[in-house]
Amino acid sequence: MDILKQALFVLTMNVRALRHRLGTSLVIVIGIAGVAAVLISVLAMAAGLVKTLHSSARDDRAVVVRNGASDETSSFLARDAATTAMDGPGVKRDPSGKALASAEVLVVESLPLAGEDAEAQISVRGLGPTGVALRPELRITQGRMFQPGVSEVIVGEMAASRFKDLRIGDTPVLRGRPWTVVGTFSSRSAHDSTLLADAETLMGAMGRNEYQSITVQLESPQAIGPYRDALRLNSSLPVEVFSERDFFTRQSTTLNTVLKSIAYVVGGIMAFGAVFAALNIMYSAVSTRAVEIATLRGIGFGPDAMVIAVLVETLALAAIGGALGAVVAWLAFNGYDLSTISGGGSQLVFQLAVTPKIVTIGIAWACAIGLLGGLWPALQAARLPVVVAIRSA
Amino acid sequence: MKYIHLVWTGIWHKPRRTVLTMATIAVAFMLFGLLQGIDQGADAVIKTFNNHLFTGNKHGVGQGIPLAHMDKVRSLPGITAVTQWTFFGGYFKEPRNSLAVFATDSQVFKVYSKDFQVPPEQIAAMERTRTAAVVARPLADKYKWRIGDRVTLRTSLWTQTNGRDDYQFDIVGIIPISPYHPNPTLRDLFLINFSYLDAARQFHRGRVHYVVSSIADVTRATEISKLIDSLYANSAEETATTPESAMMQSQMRQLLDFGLIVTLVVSAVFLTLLLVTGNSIAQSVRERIPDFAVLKTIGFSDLTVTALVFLEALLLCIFAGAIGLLIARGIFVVLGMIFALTMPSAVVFQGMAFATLLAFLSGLIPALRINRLNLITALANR
Repeated sequence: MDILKQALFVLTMNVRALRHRLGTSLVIVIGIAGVAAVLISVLAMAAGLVKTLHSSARDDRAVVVRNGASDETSSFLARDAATTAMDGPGVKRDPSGKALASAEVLVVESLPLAGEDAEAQISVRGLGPTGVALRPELRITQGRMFQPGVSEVIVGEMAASRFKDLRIGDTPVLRGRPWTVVGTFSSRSAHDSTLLADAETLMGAMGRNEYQSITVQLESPQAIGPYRDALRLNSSLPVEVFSERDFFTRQSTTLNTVLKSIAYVVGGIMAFGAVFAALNIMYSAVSTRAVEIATLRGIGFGPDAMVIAVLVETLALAAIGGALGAVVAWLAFNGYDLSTISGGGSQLVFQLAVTPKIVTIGIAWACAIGLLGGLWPALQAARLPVVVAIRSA
Repeated sequence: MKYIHLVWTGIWHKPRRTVLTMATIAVAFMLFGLLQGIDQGADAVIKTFNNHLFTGNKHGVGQGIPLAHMDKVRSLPGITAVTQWTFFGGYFKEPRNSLAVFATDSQVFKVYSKDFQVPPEQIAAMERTRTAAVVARPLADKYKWRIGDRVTLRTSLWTQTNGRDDYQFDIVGIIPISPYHPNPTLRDLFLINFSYLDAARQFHRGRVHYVVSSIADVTRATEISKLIDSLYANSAEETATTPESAMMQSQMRQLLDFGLIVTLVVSAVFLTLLLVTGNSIAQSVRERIPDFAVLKTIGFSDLTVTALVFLEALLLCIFAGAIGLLIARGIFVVLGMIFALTMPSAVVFQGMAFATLLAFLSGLIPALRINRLNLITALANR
C-alpha cells in the first residue's frame, strides 16, 4: 500500500476508536477553542472600529483640513480660505447650483451618561447649509432637521441611547447655553455617536470665527487628484486634502494598532500554552495506543503513514476547536457595543464585528497550534519499536 | 512532612507529562500576572492621586465656576491648599503643536508640593511677572526653552479684547518632573498667571474651569468632595468635585474598556487551564491506581491517600504558577523601567489563590475516585 492509503487506513481506525478517547480529545478541542475565542474577540474589536469609521466613507468625498493638523480639533480654516476651497474644481453642485461643500466645526462637550453616575465626552459637529445634502446616508428618523440661526441640534441614534436626556425636546447644555434636540438621525457611521447643529450658530456660541474642516462632495473619485492639486497651487491656502476614507483611517490608526497588538500578543501567549497542552495530550494518546501503533508498524505500515495520521488527527481536532471558538466569540460578542475615544477626543460607540476574515485567522491560528502540538508526538509514533507491541501483549 | 517523598515521586511519575503540564500552567499564570498586573498596577498608581480634588461646574466643565468659589473651599477643614486651574488650550507656532497650558496662581505649587518642588525664587518670579510661565522640564526640553526665553503662544479659545489671539510669555521657572511620571498632564505642564489671561480675554471673565484643592488625608477624598459640592448645591453655580484619580480613570477607561478584555481573557484562560490540568492529573492518577491500592492495603487510611492526591495537585499547580508569576514579575521589572509601573503584590497573592483553587478543582474528581477505591478490583488490574 502506498503512504496515502496507509495513512488513510490508520486515520479511519483512529477515528473509529475516538469514542474511547472522547475525554482527552475534547480537552484539545476546548483548550484550543479558548485561544481562538480570545483572539477572535479582540480582533473583532479592531474590525468593528474600522467598520464603523469606514462604513460611510466614500472615495468621492474629500475632507480638507489645515496643513499639519492631526485631526479636526487641531485644525482651523479662516473664512476666506474656506470659501476658496469650496469653490475648487470638481466639486459637485446641487440642482440649484450650490456647491455640495460644507465648512464645519467640531466641538467636544461633556454630557452625563445614561444609567451611570459619570460624564463622557461627545462630539458636536456644526454643519454648513449643504452638510446634510452631501451625506445621503444620513436620514432623519424622528422629528426634524435643525434650523439655522437657532440653538437646535439633532442627535445620532447611538448617542441618544448612550447619553442621558438626549430625546426630542430635551435641552442639553452646550457651550454654556441650552440647545433643543429637534430630531434623531441614523447614518450607520461614526456620526451616529454625535450631535449635529448649524455651523454658524455653533461658532457664535463658541465665540469663534473659523471653521475646522471642509467636507466636499466631488464629481467622481478621480476628481480628488485635480482638486488637491488646484488647492495646493494656491499658496495662500494652508490646507491638506484627504479622501474621506484616508481621513478616517488616520483617525483610527492608533487604537486599531493597539487592539491588534493586544490580540496577537495575548493570543500568542495563550497559543504558546495551548501548544504545551496539545503536546501533553497527544504524547499521552500515542503512548496509550503504543501497542496498536507498534503492531501496525510490525505488519508493515510505514513510519510516514503514522506521522501523517497523528498529525491529521491533531489538526482536525484543532480545527474543530478553532471553529468552536469562533462560534462562541460570535454568539457572545458579535454586535456588542463598545465605546471609546477616537481621534479628536470624542466618544465613539462601535460594535464588535466577527468577520469571516477574522474567523479564518482564528481557525488558522488553531491549526498552527495543532500542527505544533502534534508534530513531536507524531514523530515519536513513527519511531515506536515493534518490540513494544510484543512486550505489552 | 514524611509524605513529601511520596508526593514528589507521584508527581514525577511521567516526567514529560509533568513538565508539559507545568509549562501550560506557568504560561497561563504568566499571562494572568501580566494582564492583572497592568490593569491593577495602573489602578494603584492612579489611586495615589486622590490627594487632589477638582471642583468644576456641574453642568459641564467648559462653563466654568466663579473665582470666588475658591474662598469657600479654602475654609473647609481638611483642605491644605487651594488653587485654580483654567484650560488655556494654546499652541506653539503651529496648531498641531498644542500644549497643555493652564492658567493658575502661585498656590498651585503648594497644592502639588508632593509631586514636584519648584525653587522659591521661581515661584516669586511668577508672582512678580504678569506674563510669567513655569514649564515642565520634558516640555521645555522638547522646544529647547530656557529660563528667560520669551515664548509666544496662540489660542483659538481665548481671543483678546483687542481681537488678537497671541499671548507672550516669559519663562521664569522649570518644573523638575520626570518624563515618565504617571500623571500625563504634569509631564507637559505650561503654567501661566490667571490674572494675565483674565485681564486680556473677551469671554468668561472672573471664571475658572476648576478649583483645585489638596487634602491632607487621602482616604477622605470622596467625603470632602461631597462636602464641597454641598456648599453650592441648588445654587446658581452648582459644582461637581472629583478626586484627580477619578478624572484620570475616566480618561483611561474611555480609551477602551480594558477591564472587559482582561476579564474575558482571564476567564477563558482559567477555564481551559482547569480542563487541561484536570485531565492531566486524572490521567496520572488513573495510571497509578494499583499504587494507591497498595498504599491502602498496607494501612494508609482513605483520608491520607486522598490527601496525597490533593497534595500532588497542589504542589504541581503552586510550583508552576509561581514560576509563571515570577516570569511576569521579571517582565514588569523591564517594563517598569520604561513606564514607572510595578506589579502590585496583590496580583501575586491573587495568583496563588487561583493556583490553589485550580489544584483543588482539578484534583477533586481523581481524589474522590481514589477515596472510594475498591481494593480488590484495583489490585486485580495489575
